[in-house]
Amino acid sequence: MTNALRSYRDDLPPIDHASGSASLGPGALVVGGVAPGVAALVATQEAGIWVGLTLGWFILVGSLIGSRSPLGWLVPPIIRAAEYGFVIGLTWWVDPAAMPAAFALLAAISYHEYDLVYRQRHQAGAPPRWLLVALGGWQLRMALVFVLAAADLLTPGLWTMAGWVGVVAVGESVHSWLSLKPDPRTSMESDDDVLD
Amino acid sequence: MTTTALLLALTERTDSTGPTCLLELDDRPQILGLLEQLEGLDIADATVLATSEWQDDLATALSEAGQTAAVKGVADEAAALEGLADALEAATRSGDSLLIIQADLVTHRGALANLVQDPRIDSGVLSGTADMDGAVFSLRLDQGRIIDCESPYHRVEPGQTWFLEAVTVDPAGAAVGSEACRECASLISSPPAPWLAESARKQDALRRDPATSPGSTDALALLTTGLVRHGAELRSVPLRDLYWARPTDRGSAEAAAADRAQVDEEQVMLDGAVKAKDGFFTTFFVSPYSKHIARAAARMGLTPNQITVFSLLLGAAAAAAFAFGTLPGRIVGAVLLQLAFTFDCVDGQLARYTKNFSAFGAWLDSMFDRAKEYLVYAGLAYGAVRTGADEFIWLLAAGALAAQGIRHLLDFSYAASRTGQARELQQPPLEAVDGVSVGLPPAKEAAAPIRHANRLETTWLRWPKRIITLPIGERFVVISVTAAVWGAEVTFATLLIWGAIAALYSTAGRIMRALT
Repeated sequence: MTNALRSYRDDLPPIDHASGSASLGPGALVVGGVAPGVAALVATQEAGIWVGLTLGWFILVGSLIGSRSPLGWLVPPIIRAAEYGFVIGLTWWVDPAAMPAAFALLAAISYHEYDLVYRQRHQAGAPPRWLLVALGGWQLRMALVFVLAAADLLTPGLWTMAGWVGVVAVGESVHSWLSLKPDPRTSMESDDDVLD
Repeated sequence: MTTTALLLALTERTDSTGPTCLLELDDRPQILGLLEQLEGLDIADATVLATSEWQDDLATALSEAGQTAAVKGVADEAAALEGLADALEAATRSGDSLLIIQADLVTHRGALANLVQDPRIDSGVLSGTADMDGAVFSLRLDQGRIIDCESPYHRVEPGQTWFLEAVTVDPAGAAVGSEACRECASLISSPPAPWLAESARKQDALRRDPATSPGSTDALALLTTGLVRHGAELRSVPLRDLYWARPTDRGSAEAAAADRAQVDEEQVMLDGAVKAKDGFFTTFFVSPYSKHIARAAARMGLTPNQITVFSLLLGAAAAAAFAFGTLPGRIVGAVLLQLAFTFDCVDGQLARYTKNFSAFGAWLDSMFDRAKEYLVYAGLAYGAVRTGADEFIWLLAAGALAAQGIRHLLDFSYAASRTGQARELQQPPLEAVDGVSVGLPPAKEAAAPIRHANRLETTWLRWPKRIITLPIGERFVVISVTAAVWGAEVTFATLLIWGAIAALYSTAGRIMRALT
């Protein structure tokens, strides 16, 4: 697994050391990580418990799975899709009035995740580990959103999370550029090979 | 870092009456024009390496014109390579970059500027794809890096682009180059049998087609081959549509002067500021006018980062206008968003036009693009709620944001997995005639001499393939049009559906490529 792919996962340290210990493909992540819980959910209608169990199982499988298989590059986007989909789906299901807060949280997480990609590209390095711990990684963020939903605190909770992630991520990235010594090896072309 | 220059006056005219670099061009010896172009690039310190018998003539011509460049005589090709090695060593010692160029080279100042003034190029080689007068050696590239260079004794098959006889090296590259030159010099004094065979093969081809005249000996191509074989990282600096030639007699020199004057250098440089590979809407509906804004901004002394910030402010204003939710608000928002996108193109073009690049600028540009887009999503959703929509619109907005983020990561994850696979090429030793390209399939985006035929063939399918991936230009048009005409619901629905199709299309293709 390349360093870039590892960084794109946005794991919570020190769990990130575990990734790759299960040599399974991205298919296993989808089938093994989500399907059993969804099936149980449909069969039993015991929503809260099964969502929690599915989430726990997904976090476990997603943390262990690596990117060694030929389709390993699908793992980070699948993790991301799971995180975004979970925040959106759970909020819509539990408290639709909290959707603006969910949007704000996704925007803040997005900032951090674009930063992971572009910092790697233009600054020749990943952000410091304390930042990844402070932002919780996808594992802690998903768990926290579940707890907020269970406690019926989605609106204040998601706004608080969005504020925290936004302030910490933006603040740290600005600070990193202000304190950077120019390195001639970094890329100075903005997304040249990706039409985006 | 300063750059010094070494000019090579080792090529004889076809009528054997002296060096090619003293041919009259615009009523004076060509080499004087070249030195003047170099002065325009702040390269005042130049040395000429000349065949001994021309040393005095050259020195006289230079001093008559008030030029201070020193002329060093060399007896033969091995001595020329030793002279090159000395100059390269001197550059390493003084920490300067060194530009090595054929003294008879007729081109534009801008072509040399692209080679020596671009901060992204530490060591590079001028290259060209068009059929050019005097280009005889070809190059093979891998993602813009030169992996194989032809010389009188080395073969590149199949070639990809032409070696245009101008090379710049940084101090580290110069250290590698001096070592390579010494090795070439000792090899050339008793050439290995395969070298002689390859050289004879080329001489034979030359007799059949004398139009490709210079190049029976070429210390610069040998140096470049040596650099590549010793693992130096050389970037290809394309000539694009600028003029380039190496005249070998009076007739071709006059033709070169006339043809060069035909090219509108400033226009080509401005066109070169446009990103080479971009989306359909950007290429045909934005860049053609935004490059003129970039030129105006350059004349006003604005920096790319100032433009990037201005573009973000326009995007924020667009979001604020969308947030009213009313028809006039949405129309104003749509127009402001298009303006923001125009300036988003201008910043990169300004950076390329003025060669003012920075890693921070590239990061800022990328990050602000997303910031603009998501501010606009929020503004649209807020405006829709203000004018009667329920929370469902925020679900759509969050979905559109999520889709964009996931698609982006799909692109970069795939790219990262590909980069990891790029294998280091094992370069053969200098004695070997065949380089790494021999036996490789022809380059995918072949820049063979028949450039125009190639272009026609690949153009028509390229655009639909790009449009389907919903690049930023198309996306912003979709947002502006749907938001102004129908409102936020249609905007988000379009983004979600098109985004899903784009993700499926590109992911399916990539999965097949990854598995085969």
